[in-house]
Amino acid sequence: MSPVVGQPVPRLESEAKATGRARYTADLSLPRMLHARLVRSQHPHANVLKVDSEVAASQLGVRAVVTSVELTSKYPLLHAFNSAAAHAVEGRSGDQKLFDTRVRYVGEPVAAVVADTDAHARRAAQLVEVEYQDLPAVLDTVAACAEGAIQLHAGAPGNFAQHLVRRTGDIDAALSSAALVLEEQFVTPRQKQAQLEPTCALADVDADGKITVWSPNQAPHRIREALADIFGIPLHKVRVINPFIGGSFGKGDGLTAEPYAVLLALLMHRPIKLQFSRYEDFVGTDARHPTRTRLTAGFRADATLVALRAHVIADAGAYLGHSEGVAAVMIRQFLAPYRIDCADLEASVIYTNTPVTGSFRGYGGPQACFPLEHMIDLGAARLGVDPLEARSRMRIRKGDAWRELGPIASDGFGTCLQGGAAAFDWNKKRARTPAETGPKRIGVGMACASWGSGVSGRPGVFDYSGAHVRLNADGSVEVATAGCDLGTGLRTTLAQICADALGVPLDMVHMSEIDTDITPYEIGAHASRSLYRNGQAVQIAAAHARRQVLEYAASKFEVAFEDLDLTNGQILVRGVPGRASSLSEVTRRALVEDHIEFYGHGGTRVANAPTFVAQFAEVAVDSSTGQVTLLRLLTAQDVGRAINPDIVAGQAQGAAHQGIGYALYEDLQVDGETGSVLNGLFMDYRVPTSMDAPTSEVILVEEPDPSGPFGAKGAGEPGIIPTAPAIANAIFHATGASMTQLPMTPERVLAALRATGREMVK
Amino acid sequence: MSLQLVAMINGERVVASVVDDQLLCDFLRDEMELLGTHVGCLEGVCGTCTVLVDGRQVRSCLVLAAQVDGCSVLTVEGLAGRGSLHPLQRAFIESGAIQCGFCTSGMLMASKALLDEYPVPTEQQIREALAGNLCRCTGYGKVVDAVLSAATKIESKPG
Repeated sequence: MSPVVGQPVPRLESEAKATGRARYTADLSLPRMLHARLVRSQHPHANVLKVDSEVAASQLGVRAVVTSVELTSKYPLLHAFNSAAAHAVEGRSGDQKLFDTRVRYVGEPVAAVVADTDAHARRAAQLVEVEYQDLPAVLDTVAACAEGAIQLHAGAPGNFAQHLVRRTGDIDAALSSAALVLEEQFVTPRQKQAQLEPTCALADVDADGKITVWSPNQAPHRIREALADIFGIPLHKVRVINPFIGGSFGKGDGLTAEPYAVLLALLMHRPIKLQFSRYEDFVGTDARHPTRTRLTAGFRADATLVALRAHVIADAGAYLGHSEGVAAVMIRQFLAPYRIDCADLEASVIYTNTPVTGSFRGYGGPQACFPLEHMIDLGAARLGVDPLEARSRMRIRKGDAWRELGPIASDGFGTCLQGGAAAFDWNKKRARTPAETGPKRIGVGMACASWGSGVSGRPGVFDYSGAHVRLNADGSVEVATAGCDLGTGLRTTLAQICADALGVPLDMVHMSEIDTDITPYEIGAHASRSLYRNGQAVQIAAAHARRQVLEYAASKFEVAFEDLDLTNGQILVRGVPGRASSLSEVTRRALVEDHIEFYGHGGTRVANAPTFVAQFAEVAVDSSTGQVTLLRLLTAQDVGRAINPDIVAGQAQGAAHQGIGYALYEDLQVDGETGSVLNGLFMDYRVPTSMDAPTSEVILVEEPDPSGPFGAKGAGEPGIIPTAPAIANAIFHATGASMTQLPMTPERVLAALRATGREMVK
Repeated sequence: MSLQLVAMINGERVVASVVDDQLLCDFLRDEMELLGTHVGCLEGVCGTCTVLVDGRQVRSCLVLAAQVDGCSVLTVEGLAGRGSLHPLQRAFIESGAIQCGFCTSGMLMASKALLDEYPVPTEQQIREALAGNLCRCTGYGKVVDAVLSAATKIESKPG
């Protein structure tokens, strides 16, 4: 049988999606279901004194208006929560309450309207009047850290949500011995996932009090734990199901609409579908932390880094959410791709009265990568070294210690750099003299990142996926994992792994629906872990089932276990061509004659694998307008093994495109006076369109990691991390202008050109 | 107020009573149970809810159901022929142009409107035609490939 691992088979669910038959959460209905919409605060910091629901409640089709004031008296026992929904092992300190009577950002839910139809709920929600007692608001990190600033949370003096410090080596000595020391301030924006499916949840409570929730979340088991926690019930009373998911990119890496839908279902004794508008999705779900970073870098004469000092100030928004994790990743990313002996790294994550920031593809990586990678180019230019050469000299490599997990076992970094450079024609393009006349300046730049495959390997961090592989009587196969397919192609890729590991054709493998009642535990689709971790679990579970089948067959056929093989759904006796049996004959016989079902289980152990990416960008800069046109973007990424080359290349292309948005367009702006989000609509928040960039090129580097399923490593996030600095470095090469703030809008590029004296004077 | 609506929807004559302010997307999804038309923004920007009305692409969140009285409406459910996928659907599947799939229905309908008018579009024409359909997963490259590939197949079909 030809293996399916490594084949670009079409996704299992593509036909359902192409014909409009794939069902997303908003498409689901239950008998007696009601529709809900939330009413959100228009004040950044206030006590809710009174909610006047009379007009709204009297509207046609409206069933109830639920308010924070009423809830606090009725349900004093609802537990505080953290929307990050960390699993139990990591502890769950919560600073957020459902319908709190003190609101801390514009957009925080204060009431809900329940109605017969969504249109009725939408309309009535506009009619709820809320009376606030305003409190002083801190709308950015500077105001939040100022002397005497109001404190958002009792347990957080100085509004520090998180403060992390990591020091290695003698930084002062290293800096004073450096050939060149540079210092710069960098600013990164608040970026929104802007997945196309608006946030939604459907909740139902049965006669026994068991809660079932359908939602486009990335971590069904963590959502289940968090809901059990909030409502004070055991885990088996909560069931979380994933319908098809319309993109997520971190947005669903925790609680969004789920606890509100559950609460309303409990209150109304009816199923509740709660939908967010696009504006609510922008303000009411996590964004990427905006940051300000002061970076000092010491270079040797060959442009390698000898020392780094970075102080990052990140905006957590109003609640903790993922801030602890994001801060840790930011710190780690400064040292991820290169050997740097001395470092002094500090991250302060600050509460402000703005929408919550948290998990977004890259999770702290882009905020560290942009300053670091642009700084390398600034240093290399001063020292007259090719920036690709500087990176090649100092890159981490096979054998280096990596994340408390021992030496790096697979290293495709060098191939990413060299293969990418060759395909991009780096040396030739880099050596071009920029045309001194004419408004367009052409230049090329590159940047790198190293990333993990999951979060396993840090002390105290739990990273687990489980899988079941069950054989039906006819030899077809059910695979149960809770690994969410956010549109990533994960389910198809896992089916390919199961087919080869078990020895059956791909069309005999079915991926069970994700349902916490059925699918084994797993921590969620984040940190580029899904294929790597669920793939390990599926491979082990399939091998376990295969062993059971062959042991049974060996006893029935009276041959040695070692002489049997299972391939393409056929059980063969090695060297005896006539003695084949179909898998279905064996599975049926086992069930009927011996009451045996073959049921494999697999789970992960502590393991992680490093991934590497190098990105190359070519830009044209119009020096009279500051307009940047991206001419070419190439991603060379070490994926370990491309289980499905089309799917993994699609991940790299999509990630790069979001990176382009981060570099050039995207910035969710909060008004400095009112705390309102100014551009929380697709009309105003600019995501890249089909006109904004050419098709990005992808080179898949396959350097298998011994720990990965068939050698595969994580692949979802690396491609978004170095895009912004690669483009910034190309602008720098084209014009000599150093861009230290994202997004690199025409206004900012023009200002930077003016600073270099290189704008075109008309 | 309720109005009577008579329209051809995916080739079938439909007589329905609609509320005068009901949006076409809500009518298609809630009354006709055509759930393949997705709603991404309800402000006419993302293109997710695109359907064809008398052959022209329309944002079904910007149009009232009552406005399609007497018209012919095509949604993604009506794209495939009996038992066979439309060449665009096949091309989207084969080119890997579908990731999360939420934008796919709108992309397919906008692409159909393009190919009906320009059977052999250039890459630039495709990019321009799809500029109002947001996709956050693919980076558009494979979507453009799919439309190019479908155009070749439709064009080379005899008859």
